[in-house]
Amino acid sequence: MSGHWPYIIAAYVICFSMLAIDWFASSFELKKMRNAARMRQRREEKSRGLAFNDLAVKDKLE
Amino acid sequence: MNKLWIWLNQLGSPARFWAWSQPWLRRCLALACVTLAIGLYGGLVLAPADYLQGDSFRIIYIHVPCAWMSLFVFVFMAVQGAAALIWRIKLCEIFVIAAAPTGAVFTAVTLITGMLWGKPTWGTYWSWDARLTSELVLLFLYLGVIALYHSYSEHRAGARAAAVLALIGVVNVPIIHYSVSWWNTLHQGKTVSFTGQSKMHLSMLWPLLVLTIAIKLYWIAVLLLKSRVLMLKLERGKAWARDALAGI
Repeated sequence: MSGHWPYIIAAYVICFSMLAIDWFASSFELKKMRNAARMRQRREEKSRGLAFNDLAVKDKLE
Repeated sequence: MNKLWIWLNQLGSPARFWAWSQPWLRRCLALACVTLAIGLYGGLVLAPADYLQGDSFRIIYIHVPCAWMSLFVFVFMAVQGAAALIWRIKLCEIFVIAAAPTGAVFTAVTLITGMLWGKPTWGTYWSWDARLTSELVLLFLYLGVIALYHSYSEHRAGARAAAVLALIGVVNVPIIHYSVSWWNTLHQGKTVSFTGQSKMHLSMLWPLLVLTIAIKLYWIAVLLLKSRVLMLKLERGKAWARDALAGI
């Protein structure tokens, strides 16, 4: 009966790997979109002449 | 009842769904992890070995919940597809597309774990049996829905075509379910019954039910996550989506 364990382990490893890949693929995509949005925001602020750091300094001075 | 309809109607708005789904996603994922740990301990450690199959029967603790989910997700897609086609609800279209990849994963896991159980039990990985073949057809239907959606450049047209395929393909679900009764199959008949007496002893049955709940909770969490990603992609230009991305 102990000869069954390689099949059991393979089944569990394949199952949870596939479910984890499915989860992390979406989670990674969300992270990528967030980073792209941040970069875009930074670019927009730079084009307006106010970089992130400038804004922070300005806040502190005020 | 009226309040429920108003709430459901409001939930159809992407911005409201975004705000509502975040806490539920976390709760479902946390509950899925807890129930998964309990179910796995019960199934791999506490449950006794089967007197005929030995330890190989422990594969059913992932095979059966995934098989049930593969059928459930396709029915869910068909229902959402019908709602999307009749009432043109954007959220329903998103649900059809977001549910398909995880449904395909459940079906693939069902087939692979079934093969790994079949080798020590039947002496073969595969047999062109009615249950196995109809489950393989289900995998092709899931892949078809995904491929059809991606073949369109416009989201709504792709989602509607995918919804039609989901509605046609749902006919395969009762075929899978009743295949073991309609044909003489190598696959065993119904073991677990929610209405009558189950053929499994309670000491073996409870981990299966706990893992079924765990897999269902995982699916709700992953569906919410995929819907949120898809929604952000589609509504990228809108103010709520920009605010949502900045606030994650």
